[in-house]
Amino acid sequence: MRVSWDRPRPDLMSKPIAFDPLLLDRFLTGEATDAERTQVEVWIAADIRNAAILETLRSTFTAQRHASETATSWQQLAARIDRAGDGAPLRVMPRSTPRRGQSSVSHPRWFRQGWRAAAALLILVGGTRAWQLQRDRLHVVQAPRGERASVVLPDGSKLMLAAGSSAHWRGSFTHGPREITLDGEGYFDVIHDTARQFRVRARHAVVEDVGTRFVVRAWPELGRVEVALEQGAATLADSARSRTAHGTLLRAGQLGRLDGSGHVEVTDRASAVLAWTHGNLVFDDTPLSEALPALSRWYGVELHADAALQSHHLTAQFAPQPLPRLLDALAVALNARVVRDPALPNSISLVPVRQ
Amino acid sequence: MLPTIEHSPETVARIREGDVAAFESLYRAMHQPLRTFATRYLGDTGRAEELVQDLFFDIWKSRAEWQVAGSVRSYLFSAVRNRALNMCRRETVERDWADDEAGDSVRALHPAPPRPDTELERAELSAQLTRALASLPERCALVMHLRWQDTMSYADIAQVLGISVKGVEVQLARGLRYLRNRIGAP
Repeated sequence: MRVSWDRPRPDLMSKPIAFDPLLLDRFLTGEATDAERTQVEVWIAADIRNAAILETLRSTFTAQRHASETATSWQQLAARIDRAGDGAPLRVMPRSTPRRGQSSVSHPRWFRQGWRAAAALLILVGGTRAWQLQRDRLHVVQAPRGERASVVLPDGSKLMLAAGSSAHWRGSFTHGPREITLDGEGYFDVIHDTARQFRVRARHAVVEDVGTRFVVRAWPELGRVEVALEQGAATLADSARSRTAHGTLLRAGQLGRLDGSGHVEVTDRASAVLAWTHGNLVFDDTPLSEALPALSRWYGVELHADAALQSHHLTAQFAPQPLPRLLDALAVALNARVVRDPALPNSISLVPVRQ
Repeated sequence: MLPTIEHSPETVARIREGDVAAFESLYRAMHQPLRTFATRYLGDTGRAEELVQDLFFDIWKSRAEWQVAGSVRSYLFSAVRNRALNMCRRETVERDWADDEAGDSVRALHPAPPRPDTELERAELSAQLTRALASLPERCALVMHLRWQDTMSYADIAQVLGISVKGVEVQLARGLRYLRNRIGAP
């Protein structure tokens, strides 16, 4: 029985559809029910002027957020609070400094616990995004989502961080091994020094240079650590075994993948992993579950894909371009469409096109 | 889903205890919304930035005595508004609907422009709407801003601007009707 057909459907009615400002408001904030959404969609389709109102409101009231401005602003505020020194400085660190010579494998407990707190009380050094904690000489570099960050290390080596990554090191690099801990993805251009090894720790991996330029990629969703060599040579090893066994030697053009069980697979597919250092994003048969987080960090948004799309693999090269254009290309490749929620301008979903 | 820092009821307590991470997270979450909001009052991003930094500086300085009734987000918007109003003259800033409904009908009497092709019409409509938005009374524009830019509830907007919940609804409805009338009846 189709009782509802007895009533006229709103889209079949010829008289103008009533303008309901509060319904439009709920539609804009995402609070409208499904039935109300349909009602508004009918209203929009009825008159180009209605569509124009909605479009103008959306474009006027969709904030463009600039993460770099907030980062700079926070640095200014933190420095000002520390300068004020009126009994309320941004300082919550324990007094004890870990002894020199302590095992460099694990971080002191206070550091692990206080990581977030530590990041908050660092003071800006120079014009870079590097921070220095006065007392404990802990240096942290961060690249917010949507941005890359570059820093020259104390020994003259260079580090470029991919969006959403951070790295930290202790001390001034003037004696002992040079050691950096990476969270995320970074490009290292190391000045070789036979007397002082350069070591990168990332998740369960240890990378040691033999004079080189390379990318270390260690995102949690990968479950593995990748090292791509642009020049020179480096070794890759599981941190649990690095003391007892030699790492796997990687040469220019090679990509080493250290999996969760400590096995290293070597291929000659370094170029896709290195591409971002030149401003491009390259995916080489990459599962969507890895490609979307990478794109999200690069553009500083949250990209989601419908479960039906998750099994797709992406092979693509993206030159620098605005996000909407990239999304269009991605949608075509996946036979999907792009869905944005007006209430969450940074949240974008890809859903399959129904036949 | 966990509440974000600006919605979490624990945020104020954590900051009162000197939790730097919570303070930084709150600042990072709220800096841009508050600065954009302050700019509406001050007309100047530089002064707005200063205002927001001053506010957080003062919060941190006297964090031990920091009291917030209701949501920390509404509190911050209210505090920005109070400081902004102190920096300029209230009546000129929060210009409200003047009692000149007659103005609307006069505009409505103007003959509608001839119908050009769709693309031109679209561009022309968009320009008309942008002009209409700019000519809205400031209080109405503020309500729209808090509602659609910052997705605040009627109750929170009422609290921030010191008006009634019904007043929020009236501003939104009147503003939207005004926009629609400015581009002619269908």
